[in-house]
Amino acid sequence: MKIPCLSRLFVEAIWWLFSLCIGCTGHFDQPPPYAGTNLQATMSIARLRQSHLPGNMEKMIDDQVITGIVTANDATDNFYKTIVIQDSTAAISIRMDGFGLAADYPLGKRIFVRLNGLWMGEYGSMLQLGGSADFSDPAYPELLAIPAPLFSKVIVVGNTEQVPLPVSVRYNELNNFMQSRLIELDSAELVTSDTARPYADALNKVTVSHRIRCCSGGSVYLRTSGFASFATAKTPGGNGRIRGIFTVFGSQKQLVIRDTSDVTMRGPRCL
Amino acid sequence: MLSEAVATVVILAVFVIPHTLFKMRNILLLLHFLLRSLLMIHAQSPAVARQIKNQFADSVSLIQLLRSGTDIDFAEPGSGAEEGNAASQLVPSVLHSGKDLFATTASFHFNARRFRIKGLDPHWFQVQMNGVPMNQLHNGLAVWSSWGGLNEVMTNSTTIIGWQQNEYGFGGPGSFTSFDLKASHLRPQTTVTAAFSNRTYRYRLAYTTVASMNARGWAYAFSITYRTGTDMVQPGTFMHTPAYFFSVDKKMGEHLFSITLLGAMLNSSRTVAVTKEAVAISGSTQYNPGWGYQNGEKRNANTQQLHTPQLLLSHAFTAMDATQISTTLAYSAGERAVSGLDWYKASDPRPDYYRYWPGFQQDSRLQSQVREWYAEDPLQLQINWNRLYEVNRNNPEIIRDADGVAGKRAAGLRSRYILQDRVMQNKSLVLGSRLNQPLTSRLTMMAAVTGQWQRVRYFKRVKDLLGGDFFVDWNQFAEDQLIHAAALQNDLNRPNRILKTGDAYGYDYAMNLLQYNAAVQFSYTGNRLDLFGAIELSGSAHYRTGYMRNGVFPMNSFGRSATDRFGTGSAKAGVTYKINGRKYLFLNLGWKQRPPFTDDYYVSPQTRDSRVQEIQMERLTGMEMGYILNAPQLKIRATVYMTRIKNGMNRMSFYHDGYRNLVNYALWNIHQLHMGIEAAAEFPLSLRMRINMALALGRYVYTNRPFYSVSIDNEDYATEQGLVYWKNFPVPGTPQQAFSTGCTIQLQERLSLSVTGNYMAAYWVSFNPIRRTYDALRQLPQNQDPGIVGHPEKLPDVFVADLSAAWSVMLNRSRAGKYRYLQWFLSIGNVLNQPFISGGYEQLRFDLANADTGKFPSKYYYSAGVNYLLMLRYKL
Repeated sequence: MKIPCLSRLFVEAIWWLFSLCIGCTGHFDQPPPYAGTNLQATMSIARLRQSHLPGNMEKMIDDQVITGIVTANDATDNFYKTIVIQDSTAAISIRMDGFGLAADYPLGKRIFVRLNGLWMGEYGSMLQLGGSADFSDPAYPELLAIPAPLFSKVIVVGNTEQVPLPVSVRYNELNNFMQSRLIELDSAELVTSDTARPYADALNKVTVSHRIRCCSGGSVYLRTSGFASFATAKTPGGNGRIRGIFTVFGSQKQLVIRDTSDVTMRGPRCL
Repeated sequence: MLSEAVATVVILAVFVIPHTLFKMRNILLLLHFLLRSLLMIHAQSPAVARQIKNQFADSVSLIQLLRSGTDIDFAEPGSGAEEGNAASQLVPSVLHSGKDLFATTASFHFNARRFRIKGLDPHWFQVQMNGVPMNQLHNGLAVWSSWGGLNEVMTNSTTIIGWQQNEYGFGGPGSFTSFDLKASHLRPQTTVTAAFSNRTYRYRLAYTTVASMNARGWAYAFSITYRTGTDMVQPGTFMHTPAYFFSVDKKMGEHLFSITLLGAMLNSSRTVAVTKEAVAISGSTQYNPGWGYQNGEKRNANTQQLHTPQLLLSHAFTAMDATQISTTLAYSAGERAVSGLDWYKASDPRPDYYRYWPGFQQDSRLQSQVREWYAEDPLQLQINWNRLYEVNRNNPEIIRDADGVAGKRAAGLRSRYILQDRVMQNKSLVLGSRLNQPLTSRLTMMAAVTGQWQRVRYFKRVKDLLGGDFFVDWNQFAEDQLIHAAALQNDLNRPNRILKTGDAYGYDYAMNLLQYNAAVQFSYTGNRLDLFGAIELSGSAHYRTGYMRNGVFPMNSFGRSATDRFGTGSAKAGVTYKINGRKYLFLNLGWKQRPPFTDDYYVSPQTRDSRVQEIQMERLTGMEMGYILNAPQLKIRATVYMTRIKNGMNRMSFYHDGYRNLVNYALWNIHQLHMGIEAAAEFPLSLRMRINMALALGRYVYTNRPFYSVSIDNEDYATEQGLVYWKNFPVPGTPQQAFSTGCTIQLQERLSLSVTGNYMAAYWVSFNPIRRTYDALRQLPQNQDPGIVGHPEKLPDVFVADLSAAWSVMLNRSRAGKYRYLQWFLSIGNVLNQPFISGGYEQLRFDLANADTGKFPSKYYYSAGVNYLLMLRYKL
């Protein structure tokens, strides 16, 4: 055997170093924190709501942008494929055909919505934004949710801000313009037959409505989805404060909570 | 240099014949062609024939050379050993040269469409190194990529096709490849190689020294190679793979001791199949959804890292009477990590998720909007890494009772998206010993014993938290359908475990496998008849060890499972009738049984130790008969074979977002019948031209209705079970028919050119068994053709032309009197740049409720178009 000469050893040594250096791949740099967006709102949510003709379904054709802070999402699965945003003037629900929306649109996130191409319509008098409309049954046109691949086109996220405080309202202040607003009812309680009951039917995944009575008069329905993570929790028997998103179905006034922490009903019931 | 007539023949042979042959469904035409060629050659004068023989490089070796990168000596004359000695009574036996003409063509030219010899599953193709098996016990596969790139030294192998007598081991119906990696058995060389390609790498560099045995009995071999490249044919792909090989031999009298260490540190991207819709929307057959930009760099989520070094300690004893005893102890330890995205309560981050395609939208307005959006911003079709980081950075959470410690709180950014590694850590120890003993001048015996121990540990590992602080070891699928609060724990022994980069999570278990084999073969060489017979006995034992107590299956996930033991027996025998020293007829019969693979019979090993209702041992009976002609001017091997497989098993797992869970399909009692013809021929057309042909005409079908059961990872019961109605369905995943004609032209003494036309037909995409069940068709709307759901999908036949050239230049003569050569090899695949689908599968998800095949359409792998490899080798 010929003893390998120095030069050959050298070549071999270089080879080893070469492969060791390149064989291990470097880690990817983390991208810098999100810098926000320069996008500006061109219209308020109140103006958007005002532009709607009751019973109609409109397609947006202008390059208008609204902005708002997310006040409800699917984090507890009580809102299904929907997020709710609110600015200082009003609020609106946006129907989005995707799961895990809370990841991208957590509570308190400011988002900008490019309206061009979206549709606005009612579902049981509840005004919503959607991606398209289905007129296959002309008597009951249906608003369709925004498809998941278009989220990045329609919605631009901004910075995380404080979730707006709920507006404290009385029953008779609840009108259609208040839809989707984060509200708070004081001195309210569940009617006796609806206390100590599960919020919803988790076993059969059925939505349940419980009646909330305001001491000052009037009642709204607490609607909870059977898919909600807190569906099996029991409704409180006391009197107190309840927060939630105000929704309607026809003439029925409803309240949808984000979590059981929205309900603080421990006081004595009203007479 | 070439007459026009010859050129015409070449064009005919290479392009027209394969094209038309199958369309006319006329095998006779091929036979006719072969006969004509035979007649033509026999008409040539013996003198010319001898000249031809000496002029030509064996075209097999050229192909092999291009495939593997070995040298060939262009001036090497054909060996004259087979020039029959008519005076002798004893007719010489068939020589197995190590290069089977058919196998070489099949692996080099037919792999454009994933051709498998005889249509058999990959576990029927055995690999040995220095006499010990390299096939893994849990799935039967040999992991070729764990020594990938060591082309210069991995060429010393012998491949035996089918049931033939085999001096290395029992063998089987597929092929049996035996590598001899002892330094003193490798071809002595000192070479530097540089290669440029667009296939799986861009550059390859290699340095190899093999020193032959010196006077003191030492020999060594050393090779180091590096393959690297990014953005090959598909964007976002990469490969950075060093590989090493080291071997030392010491000869002491009749004993040869050898140590070999080899391995490749594979680090590369993985290819994913895509739907036709994805190709249409992205506008490219090379669309790769696996990557996205991160800080301006393409980052691929689908990668694999593999490093399993092999250490082989061998001893060989060769006595004067030709008795050989060789023993090898092989130890291997390493891991394979396959990365991918994992997520918790967030939207699917993979851009090719079916809900993101326009076709998912029912509304035509939305369809066109999605289509326009993708056209406007094609990056939407790639992973948005920035978004994943952004989501993780916006998710502060507090986990109570963290790590199972009451009152401990973990606060920070909880990642919703992570990059995971699915890890397989492998340890194996194999001891094999073989005796080759001539008993009389005519009778020889081969006896081999092997013991194989293997332990594979499977777990998921956090590879990158993508901007978050931690991940929690919870089972989100169980959480969605919470049976009880503890069900969400992946590991009840360590509940609420906080995970950092590098931590194991999800599942963690090992398969412990032991197998021992004993085989004996007797071969008798008669005057006119050669006979052999062999039997093999094997025993194996498998058990699972769980390292996590799964919250859904607390009783049968942790600890050691019961042991499954299997005993199998196999036998084969064959006879060769030697017409003369060049012509042979042979008939071989084989019967083989194998223990089931744990990959197939554990229902869901990730979560529990349940097995399928009936564990079966696959049984295979095979017959092959054929004709071999080994004349200097003409080489033919033609085989007719039939293989019947019974009691096959299979398990398939996939994520089902209807059940929102991992779903496992278990199949058993699968019967198959594979029959067909394999033929290869090689002959010269003129002094400077040689034709070689290979033909595979197969018919591979399922012959019964196997049982299936569907179980969900988080439920202990089978949700569906019954019969799969696929009797007489073709076996998918390989072309059942293939034909290749090649022509090698010797332009100068050291320059040759080769053109090959390959036709591959009868390829069916792998199918989803669930679509062939009563449950699937029950939902079918009235008056809809059940064939739409049930019929297997056949891909169009393809014709691929390959071109290659080899050129050797003598540079100078060293002081020692040795010549230095620079060798050039060029191989161009698919020269006509035909886009075609190289393979595919039906998605395992199926819209049972509507019996709709369009919702989860088939996915395909697309060929790369023209591909090339240019290799330069400098021989010192």
